[in-house]
Amino acid sequence: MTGRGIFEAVVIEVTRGATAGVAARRLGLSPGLSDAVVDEAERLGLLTRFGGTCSACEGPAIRGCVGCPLTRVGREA
Amino acid sequence: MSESASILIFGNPNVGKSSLFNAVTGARQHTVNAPGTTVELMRGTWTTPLGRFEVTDLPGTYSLVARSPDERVTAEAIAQAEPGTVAVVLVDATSPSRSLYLLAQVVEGGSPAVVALTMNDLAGAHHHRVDPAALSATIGVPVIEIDTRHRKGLDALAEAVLAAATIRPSLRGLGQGIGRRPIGADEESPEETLKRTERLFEWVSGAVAAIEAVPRTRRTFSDLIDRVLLAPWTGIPVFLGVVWGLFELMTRATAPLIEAVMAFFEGPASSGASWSLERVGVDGGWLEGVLVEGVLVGVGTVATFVPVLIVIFAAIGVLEASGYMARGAIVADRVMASMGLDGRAVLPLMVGFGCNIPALAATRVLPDARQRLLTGLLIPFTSCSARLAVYVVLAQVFFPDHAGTVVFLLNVLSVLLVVGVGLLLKRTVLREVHREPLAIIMPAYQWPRPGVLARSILTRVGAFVRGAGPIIVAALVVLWLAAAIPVRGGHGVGDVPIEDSLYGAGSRGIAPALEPMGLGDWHLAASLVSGLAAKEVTVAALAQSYAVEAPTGSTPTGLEERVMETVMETSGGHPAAAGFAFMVLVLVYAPCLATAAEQRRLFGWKWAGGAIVMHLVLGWLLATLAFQVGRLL
Repeated sequence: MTGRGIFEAVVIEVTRGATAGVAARRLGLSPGLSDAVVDEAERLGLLTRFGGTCSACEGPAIRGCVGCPLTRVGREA
Repeated sequence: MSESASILIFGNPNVGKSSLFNAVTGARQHTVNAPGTTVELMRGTWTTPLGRFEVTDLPGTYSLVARSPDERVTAEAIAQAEPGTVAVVLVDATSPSRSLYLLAQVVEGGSPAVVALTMNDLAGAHHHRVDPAALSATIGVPVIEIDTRHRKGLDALAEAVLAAATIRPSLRGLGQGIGRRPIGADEESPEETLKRTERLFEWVSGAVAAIEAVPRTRRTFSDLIDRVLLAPWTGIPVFLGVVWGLFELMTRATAPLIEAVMAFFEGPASSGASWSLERVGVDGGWLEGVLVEGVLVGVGTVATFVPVLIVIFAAIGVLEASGYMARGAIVADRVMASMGLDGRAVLPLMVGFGCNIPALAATRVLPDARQRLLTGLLIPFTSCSARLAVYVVLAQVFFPDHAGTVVFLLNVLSVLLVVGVGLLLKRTVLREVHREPLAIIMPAYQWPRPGVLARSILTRVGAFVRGAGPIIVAALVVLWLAAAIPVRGGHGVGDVPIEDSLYGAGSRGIAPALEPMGLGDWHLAASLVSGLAAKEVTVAALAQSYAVEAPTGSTPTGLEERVMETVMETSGGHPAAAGFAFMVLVLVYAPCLATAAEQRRLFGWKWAGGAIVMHLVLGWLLATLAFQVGRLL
């Protein structure tokens, strides 16, 4: 694991484009441990979950794009 | 029999916390609000031969670094616990890593703990049964296997809790640091937090290695796809190919639908409205003008956008749900990295291709103010879905056989502008912005679920129509009124030739500025000015300007033919070059008013005003260049 700790090694793999599963395989970790690292790194603000271009329009609470006046009606519905 | 200890039940979601709580408290439970919050907690009494316990079922979480009010209650429970309180941490035998990480945080927070091992039968069925004694020996905490359905292990758990209540919290092999504040506490520096996190995960890794072998996972089909899609030499061409295919699909699939909708509103709907007004005796006046040339044209334009938006949102939805959009972000980051631009800006910029305003809101994720400013200035160059809908309509007028390719080229131009203007700003007024890597979590590939996709399309299109529809219709009514107000020639209100109206005179004043790009006509100038309110209005304003001008009793002509006729004349016989220049202008000439207002709110008047000037100058130059080069081809 090139002298890095598990947490740092998984985060680096993910920033290079690996999924949590791929990072686990490359580093010889259990998939659950890799998932746990990714979840914690996201909580600490080191990783971001990709939301997509219009993802803010989805979800039960927010039905319009956040801040978009054109879809405000949708959000309030 | 006296109350012996308080118990806090910790655990990941869906590991059996509530089952344990119900099994031990039975009917002796009630709901309370967590202190200072509206989060409800279940509290109850567990009566055993050894004593009585006050039990609190805390909201499930994977970590004490909270990201919701419920999780915050769980994270703060340790700090607020009275002496003698014992944490019962449920560990899921089928996935012990995540549970053990939570256990480590709980004990590090200063709480004595007992592990309740759940789902061991399920783990055993998959040949990963956890030996409680071995786990206890490894981590130095009592581990009791429980099965709440059969009330197995509950007495042993009570015994272990009583014993734990009197001892100092510790975990074997975790070393120093026990009893400090929970990880992620406010006064901890980021470096300390990372060190502690690393130490806890090293401990979890050691504990997991002692109880289960790391499963040998084989390379999956998704991994093989990623090797192609994320490699620089194949990923970028594939990404461009996917986007081009998308625009081809978009323009070819929507062309007949757009035509049908336009024909309906220009023909039967318009005639029907006039006939109805005639029947009630209000035809021929200003009311007919407002209703037919204002409201109806606006409704027709919104209706024209509906098939386009359905295809746009379906395509975006498929790319997002399949997991490909995240790969696109990684590929885009590599392109930006090769030019020294910040990878973290990729996400807000990609949001900008949906709508510029939430993209500006998304810049909040960037930690540095200068980075937010740079990204916020680049966002209006991303071609939002409103502009996309305008391109799709215009491209089918000027490039009926290659509409998809033209729309694709406009989006490529949008990306080039983001990169080019980004480099320019970074080397001039925003030199001190430094690059940081993009760090996104790659989702697994999956098939989009048709039901979810359909609901998403319906929600997005519905929101657009409800939100943009009134704005478009209102803008067209205002424009109609501007066309009814005379500014010269002694005409009355509502009885004025368009060239003598406020609308016509204003647009004619602007039209000469568009001559170098082959667009020196008042209809086109008026539509661009109207598009400042919202880009979607551009097409509607074109339709309305022709509708207003149409002489009574003339043969109805389609919008496409009228626009083509005009541009043929203004461009000196080079309508394709001028049409492309028009679309370039729609892309670049200015952000819509709402985007400009949001820029002003975020960055102040100076930057927002400077951005508008930059867009106007760049739009004029690029559109002129596009026409002048295009007419030579």
